[in-house]
Amino acid sequence: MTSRKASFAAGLVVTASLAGIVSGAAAQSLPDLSGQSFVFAGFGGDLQSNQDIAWLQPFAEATGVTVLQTDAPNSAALATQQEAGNVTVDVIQIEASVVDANCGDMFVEVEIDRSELNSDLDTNACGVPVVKFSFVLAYNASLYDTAPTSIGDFFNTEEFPGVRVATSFANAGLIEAALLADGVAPSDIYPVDLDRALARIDASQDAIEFRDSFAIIQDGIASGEFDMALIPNGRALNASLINPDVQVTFGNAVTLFDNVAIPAGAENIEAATAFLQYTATHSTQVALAERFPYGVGTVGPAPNLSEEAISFFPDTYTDQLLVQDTDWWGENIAEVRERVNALFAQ
Amino acid sequence: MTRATDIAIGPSAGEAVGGSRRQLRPWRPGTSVMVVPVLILLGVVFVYPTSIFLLRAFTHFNPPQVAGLDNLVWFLGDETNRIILVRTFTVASMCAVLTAIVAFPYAYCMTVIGPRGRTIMLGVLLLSMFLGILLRNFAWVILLQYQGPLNDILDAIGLDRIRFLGTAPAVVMGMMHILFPFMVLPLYSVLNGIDRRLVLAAQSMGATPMRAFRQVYLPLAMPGIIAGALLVFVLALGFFITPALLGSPRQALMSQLMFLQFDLQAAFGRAGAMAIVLLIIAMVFVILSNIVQRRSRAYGDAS
Amino acid sequence: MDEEKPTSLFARRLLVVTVTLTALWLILPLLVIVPISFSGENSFAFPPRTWTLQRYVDLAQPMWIGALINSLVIASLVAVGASFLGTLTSFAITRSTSRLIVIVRALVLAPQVVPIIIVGLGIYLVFLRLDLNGSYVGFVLAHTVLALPFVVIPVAATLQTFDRDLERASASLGAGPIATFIQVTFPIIRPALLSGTFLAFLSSFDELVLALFLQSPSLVTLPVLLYRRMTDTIDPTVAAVATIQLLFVTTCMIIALFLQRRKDSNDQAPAAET
Repeated sequence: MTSRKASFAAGLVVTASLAGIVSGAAAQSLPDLSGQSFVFAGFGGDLQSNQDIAWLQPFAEATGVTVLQTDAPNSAALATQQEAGNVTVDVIQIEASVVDANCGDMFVEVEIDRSELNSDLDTNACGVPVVKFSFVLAYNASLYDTAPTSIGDFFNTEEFPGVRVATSFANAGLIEAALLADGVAPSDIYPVDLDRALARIDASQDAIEFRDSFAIIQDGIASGEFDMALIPNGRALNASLINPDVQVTFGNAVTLFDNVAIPAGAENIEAATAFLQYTATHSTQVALAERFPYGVGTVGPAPNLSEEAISFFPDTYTDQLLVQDTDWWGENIAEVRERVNALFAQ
Repeated sequence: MTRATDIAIGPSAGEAVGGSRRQLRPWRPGTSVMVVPVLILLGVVFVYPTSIFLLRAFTHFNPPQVAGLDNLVWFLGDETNRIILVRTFTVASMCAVLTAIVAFPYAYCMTVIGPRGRTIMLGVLLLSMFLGILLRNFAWVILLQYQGPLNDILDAIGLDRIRFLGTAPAVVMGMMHILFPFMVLPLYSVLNGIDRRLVLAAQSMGATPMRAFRQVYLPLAMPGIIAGALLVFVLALGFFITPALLGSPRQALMSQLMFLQFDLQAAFGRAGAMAIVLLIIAMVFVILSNIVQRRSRAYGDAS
Repeated sequence: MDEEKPTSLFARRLLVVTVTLTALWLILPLLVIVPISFSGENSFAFPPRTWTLQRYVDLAQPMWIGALINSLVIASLVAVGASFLGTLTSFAITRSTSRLIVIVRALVLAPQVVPIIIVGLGIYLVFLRLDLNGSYVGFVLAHTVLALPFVVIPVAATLQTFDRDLERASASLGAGPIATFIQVTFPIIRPALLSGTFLAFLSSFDELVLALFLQSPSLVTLPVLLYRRMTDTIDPTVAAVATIQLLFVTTCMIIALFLQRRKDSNDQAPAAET
């Protein structure tokens, strides 16, 4: 008894001091940025408000910097700013595939300590991998006797009738879901047969409502406006917290991650780089994950999640996930965007 | 005499051009100089930006467009784009027609009702206007939800719920609600100027009130109605927020497509080409409206 | 009043019904916003599932106050600029002997007629290069251009019907042009100018499309914040703002109505006594 208690206590002490060392190390590497400011551009919504609490405010307090926030421009809008010589954001959160494809020209390479990053996800010299999320299929469980098992069921109107909703964004899981519904095996999804995917989407267009805001879709699936939705797992969790009938399936959920990176032409490079270093630590990323169940880009002990959050957390379903091929998307996103816009405009 | 509507759309008959020729005065720099600050402001903030945006249609190209008229050809040649153009046109015209139909009785009533009633009617109009476009659209978003109050009423009556949001009719309804005052106010002005003694004269010659109304009053009112409808049409062509909130990407209108091309793909040339087409259509209808107004002044004025 | 024939009576009743329905159509939808402002969840479901007054308390946050102040400052500057420039322009339009004044008139009215998305996209690119995005100056310039017609239309109309003899009489009595303007012309155009200035203020305060393009992380106007909080996030605080605006406008109108009635009865009273 006593020895167990003692070793337990010793273990606690060791852990505590380790934690102290880790966070102390992180704290020590934070420079004094008082008087400076930088602009953080995120994806808005609940993710960004949680990032504000978990990342931005602690960072601002520790360094004395002022953080301004805005919604992240997409890559074309960012390019427009860069062309005009007037880049208004300093740190942008954007899909990793975009940073992979444009590191060095659209994004600035940064010299930071990458030791805590997951080497599978650390794919370029410009960005820090953050926010690993999945596009899941959320559905109103009270309407269906059997549960859908794959995001491809989004297109399965016979077994799962009802109104579906999705965004018309190019990279939002719809393409992959369409291929899965058309019978393509998960291992054969990439490289994407775009014609086949678009044909499948076209065939089901009448059953799908499109809304270009995840917030509206989240509210809609919670209030019964829609029966099925293809949305990021965090949004699905929010909907489920409002309406417990909202359940999800992670079967073949398209999983990707973002980068925080510094666009070329940004003004406040020093503050931005310090922030990037800050996000490249496990403790920082875990702080966000524990508020909002998106995976981390670092290695270390798993975050401490609430019961509900665990069932909406991608890492709980590692075997079922369909990890997105970021190379393919990096190269082809412009074409997908064009053809998707053309398809939906009809 | 001349009313706000005359100034609203075009030059008043003879006044600025022909009439003043009679008063041969030595050229005083006074009045024309007053125009310089406004011209500078308009030039820098409106004329220059709009012009170079339109010019990009001929200078900015995203592959596969390469040069010259490619952007215009892309827009007019692609079937999807033409569908969007036609849809924009249809939505705007439906909006104009329906608004005219609903606005006419309202404006007419304002001319015949007593001053207290008129103030109330005007007050209702202004209350709606002062809330702004965004908040009025917001009200319709809430009202038209699938699980919203309107559908709750339908459900209570025993009818099926209807998916209003994301459809063209929802967009038309939203636009109507916002453009209604733009039609009523000038129309009221015009109707007020119609001499009602003409109608009474017709009745004293034996016509029934209905007939006098149809054959004397309506023709006098028609130019004002048409001018108002044309104005509503042109304004509806340019709406951006209402289709974004009440419509869907699948029922996109020109303004949404233009924005998508601009923002998501930085395809300024294509957006510029679309702007040229839209602008030409708008200009045509503005000129039409001017012509209708000028004709009305020539024949129908009873003041 | 002419004879009330049956068809005329029916027509009259039909008119009243139609107009009443129209008025209800104009006002009732606005009322559904009010319950949403009390919603306890981040949802626009109607009726709300839970109730709270927190939304109104949330309005005191810097985010909302900042946006409100930005909108008020910009709208005030626009109102001043538009009334000044608009009056100058109205004089020029109605009194110039130049043939080119027709072009000026068309140019002044054009920004209202050209689809706003075209104006917005064009301004965005130019202002981006000039670094005018996200600045008060940029906003005021852009909004003034849109607001000018609200001043020019009524003021020019008033000037058109204005009897120039009044001015000539004043001049012949020895008043200089400025004194003439202040004591003769201005009082006559004042009602039109006031209403035009008010509309100019309102148009800037409510303007969304250009504001979306001109915004920056440090300069967000109230309509932009409202739009973000109803599309990016679902925030019923938006409904709280709308409710307050509704209350404000209704109160102003009741006051105006009350003042109007007092003015009317005051005007009538002396006549009744004689």
